Amino acid sequence: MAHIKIQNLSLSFKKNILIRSTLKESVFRIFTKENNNYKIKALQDINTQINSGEKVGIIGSNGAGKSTLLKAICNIYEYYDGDIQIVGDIAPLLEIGAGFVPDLTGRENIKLNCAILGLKKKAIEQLEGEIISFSGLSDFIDEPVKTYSSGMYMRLAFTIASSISPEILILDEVFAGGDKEFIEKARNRIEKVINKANILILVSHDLSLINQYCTRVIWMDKGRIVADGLPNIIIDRYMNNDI
Amino acid sequence: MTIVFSSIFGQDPKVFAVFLFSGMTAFNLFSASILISSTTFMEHEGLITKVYIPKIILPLTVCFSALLDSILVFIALLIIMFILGSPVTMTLLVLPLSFLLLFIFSIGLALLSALATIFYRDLQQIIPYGLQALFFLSPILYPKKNFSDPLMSFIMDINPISVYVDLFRGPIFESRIPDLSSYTLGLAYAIISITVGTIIFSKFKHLIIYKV
Repeated sequence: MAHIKIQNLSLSFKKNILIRSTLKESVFRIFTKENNNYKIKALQDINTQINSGEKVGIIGSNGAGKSTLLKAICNIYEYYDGDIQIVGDIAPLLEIGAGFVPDLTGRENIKLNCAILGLKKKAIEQLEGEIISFSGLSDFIDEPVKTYSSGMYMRLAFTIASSISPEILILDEVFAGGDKEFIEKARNRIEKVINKANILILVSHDLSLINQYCTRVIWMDKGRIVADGLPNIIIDRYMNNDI
Repeated sequence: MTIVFSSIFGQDPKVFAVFLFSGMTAFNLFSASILISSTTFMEHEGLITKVYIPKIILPLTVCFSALLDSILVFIALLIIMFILGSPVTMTLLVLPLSFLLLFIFSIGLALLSALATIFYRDLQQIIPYGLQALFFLSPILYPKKNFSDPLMSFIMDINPISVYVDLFRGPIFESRIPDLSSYTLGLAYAIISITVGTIIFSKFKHLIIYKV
């Protein structure tokens, strides 16, 4: 069964690595002897274990390290202290529409995105028709994505992202954009994916959403886990800002 | 270009066309790999900061598409050769090896170019000029033997591009199989480039995500 085990995870961004430097600046820096070697600690000493069957919500203010934690779990940041063990196949929905290429048609983007999310060619062919009909874009599917309106773009991206059913599902603020009718449809669809998933990790500022889907809530602040437990208790404390 | 330079160098345009294009095929494969790789991580920033993919894939795709392009250009060149009535001989059969060696050589440098522009953004502006300088330092527009100056012929000799130009121009233009020494040098440059490229790339690849 799937599980995630995180031990002593710390992740910091060095300032001198974060700066977008140029050769010109580097040459000048030799003479000015600027020293900007301080670190930004994004995650500090995270210890937690997520077992099979748990639906975990992560809450916290902006910059608390929620998305950084998800990125570390998804192996996007390969460089950290501590240890992350993951059993089970993992598919990130970190930000829907991340891999879209504007010049390709909708159909081509479906194939590309599914491939990025780790699907095999056969599975993609099976999913393609379903994705087109659910997104309601059959009239435009062979047009380049750059001609889509932002709502259409979002529909397609959401449908692709939610058509895979991994053991470990990671969602980061997925419900944004789209018209009312589509959001309704989207909620039903995402519920199905959530129910199929063995582990869910959901980051959201929408507390009612967390309350609805999660069986456990982790509250993060300034890169640390400050509270961990049942949703209604943690959410209450979070509302009252009671650390 | 063919017409202008053939009259400058006092050569028959028909012969010069094949001479020039055989060298250009080689150089374009190399320069396209380096140039497009230099911006590939920035262009796909949205992708690599959102989804985990092995970083090496991006410069590699660039190199493969450059290879495909240059093979298509070569087919066009074959057609031009037929029309111009240049000799098309069996020596063309050794070309796949030339493509392969140059391709491996280009991958190594493309990896370095993709990585270096992440750390020093302004290299993106510098690389095109470097490539242009390399173009004129390589015997593409003119044959190597035009140079009597020892310094210039030394530069031509150590310049890896001139080796690869010879590996292409020999079979296509001169209907001869290139010397063993050209192959040895070509192979050596390719191995050095791909080894250094992959070692440095794998050493720094984990920092890419922080820099894009």
